Amino acid sequence: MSDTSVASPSSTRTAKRTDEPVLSVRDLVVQYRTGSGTTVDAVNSVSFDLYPNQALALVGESGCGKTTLGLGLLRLLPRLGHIPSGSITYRRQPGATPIDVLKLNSRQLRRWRWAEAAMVFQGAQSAFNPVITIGDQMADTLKAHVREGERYNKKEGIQRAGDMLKRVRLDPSRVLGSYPHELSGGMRQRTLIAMSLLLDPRFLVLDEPTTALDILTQRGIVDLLAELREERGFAMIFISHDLALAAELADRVATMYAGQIIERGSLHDIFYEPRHPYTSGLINAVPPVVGDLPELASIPGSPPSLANLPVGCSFAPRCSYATPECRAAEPPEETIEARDQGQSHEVRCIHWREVHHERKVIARA
Amino acid sequence: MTAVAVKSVPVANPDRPRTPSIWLRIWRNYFLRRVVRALIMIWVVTSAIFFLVRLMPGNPVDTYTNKLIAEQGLSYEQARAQAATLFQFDSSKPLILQYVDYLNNLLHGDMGSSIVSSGTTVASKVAAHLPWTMFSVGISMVIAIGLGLVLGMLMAYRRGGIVDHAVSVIGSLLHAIPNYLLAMLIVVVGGVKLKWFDFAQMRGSVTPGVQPGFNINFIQDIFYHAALPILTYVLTTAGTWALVMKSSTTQVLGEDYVTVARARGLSGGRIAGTYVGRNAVLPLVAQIATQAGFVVGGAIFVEQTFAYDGIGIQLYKSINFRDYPIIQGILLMITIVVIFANLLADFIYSFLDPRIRTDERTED
Repeated sequence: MSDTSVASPSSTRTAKRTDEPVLSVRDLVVQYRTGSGTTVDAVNSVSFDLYPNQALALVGESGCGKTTLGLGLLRLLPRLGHIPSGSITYRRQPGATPIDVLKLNSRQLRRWRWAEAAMVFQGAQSAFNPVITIGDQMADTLKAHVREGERYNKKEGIQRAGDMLKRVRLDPSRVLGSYPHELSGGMRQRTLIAMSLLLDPRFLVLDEPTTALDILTQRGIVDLLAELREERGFAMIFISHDLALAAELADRVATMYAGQIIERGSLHDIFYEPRHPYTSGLINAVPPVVGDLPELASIPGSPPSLANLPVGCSFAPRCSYATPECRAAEPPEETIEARDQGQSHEVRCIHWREVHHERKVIARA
Repeated sequence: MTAVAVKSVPVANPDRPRTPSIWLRIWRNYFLRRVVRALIMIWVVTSAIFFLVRLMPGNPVDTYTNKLIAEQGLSYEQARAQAATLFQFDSSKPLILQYVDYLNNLLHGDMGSSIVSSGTTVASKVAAHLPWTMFSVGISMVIAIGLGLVLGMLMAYRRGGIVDHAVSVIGSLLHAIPNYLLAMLIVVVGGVKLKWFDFAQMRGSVTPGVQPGFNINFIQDIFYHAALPILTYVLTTAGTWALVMKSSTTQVLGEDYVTVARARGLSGGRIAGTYVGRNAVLPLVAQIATQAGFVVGGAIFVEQTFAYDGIGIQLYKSINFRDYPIIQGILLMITIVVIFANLLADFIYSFLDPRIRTDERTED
């Protein structure tokens, strides 16, 4: 467990990070082959660092490549997807020898997954094999990661799975013998979280973990995740289109658009001082919980097709700040001064100085 | 949400009697319910067969009369009289009484005797021939399904590969050829033209003189004689199984739980077996049962072609002679086999898929 002074979930860290990241992603590209033989870049030169115990929220519209990026980090891409370039470097703890995830062979990869990096999927109802019990699936997971030369100890395994279930406030005696369909949606999601932490991974990818749940159950899951992160010190990447939820869990936010991270920074910077017109628009589209309902802004147009991206900035066609320069060349990622001390703030927009965020109507739907 | 999982305790409903009546409880039992359903099915099919058989033009006496006229040149009256005395069959008895008699005898385990060859009981006829058909059809189904499942999974795992293309083409081709045509093709090409095997020796179901029993000699011999029918059944059905399994596996491979299993670091073998295979096989279980019926039906022509001494040949002969009890007996046995196979499929299904079991429980 790491020191808890930096781990309180919603406060932003003030100390300059000197430790090494648990996960370093550089210029990652994920391509899908299409039926017609061409390729599309679902994720395009994405770079970021994830530090121990940090929570990074990945936000953006549907189809912007969030889930693909999440799957790509664990090299879990579907058949037609592959990673042509970029690097993913993993470090179990600061100072440990870095592992080049893209160079792992299939055996090493199999052992790396879940033990070091786990993923909680969208829609827990379909995340479990419907024909075997939760207990068997827990056991399968433990068995797959028994150290070489050791045998799986059934009793110990059940004990471990049971402890983890208790930790997510479920009754192991009931859950372990149940089939997935016998559990409620919230219970299944908790079970999946319990399973994801079974091997004490150092980072967790959560792909819309609360989407299919009602608001109270969502609340419970978010609180649980915050609690577990504090307790176990893992880092997490929280994929969501729900900014309010992201705000609750994350220390840092990255906005994705058309396969690229267009802005990343501390939670505070992104929410109060967004420098990319798209991030600003996204925040304006969230209804406030209290107060009068202002006219909600929507971003005009729809996301571009990844197979046919516009030249230059891919957001330019929908952007009110766009100028001819935007359409001429892809904007580089610029590091700008962060309001939050010790945090970095990067943005891919040449007009970032002009973007002044206030809650306002930027365009009618 | 209260996170603590409350153990679900069935709440006693005061309006309802605490223990439902014994009949209700029996009805609710999954196993018994299926058995009762199967018995009702057998009765319905038996009755249908009884009446349908009698709807066929001609009856045993007529058929034999015609045969005597044609073969021995007797006059109609002479032939009719001879035929009538030969058979203990009264075609003038009201149909409904015949039916009641038949059912009554059946309930006492008596399927009757042949009309045409007096002294032969239906039971002995069935006992002598059905095992051969069940043996050849059973073995070929096991081979075809086993082969189909493995090929189908391979095709789905390597979509667009050589196995996929080859099995798709060959499988659909063989599926389109009726099995009796393939049987003739095998006899003509393999037996006569290329002389790969001695067809004359392979006829029948067992070489005369080989003692039945559990020994290598006998087992070798019955497989030798059943080889051609088995080959025919396997060739005509395995491709279909492979194609069905491929589509089923392809679908399962796209399921989240397979991705999650990969994320969990499970070995490829474990994923293929318990996560992909077991789920992909579910939709096939019901089809396997229905296929059993088709294969037994198709056996009539295949056995005819290979002169394999199974129930198919006997059914063919008895229909020619309008030997009602034999037809009924054989069809009854085939019905029972098929319904039993369905029953078995139901149980296998509920064993493989826990959701079925729960559905049954929550139905009431």
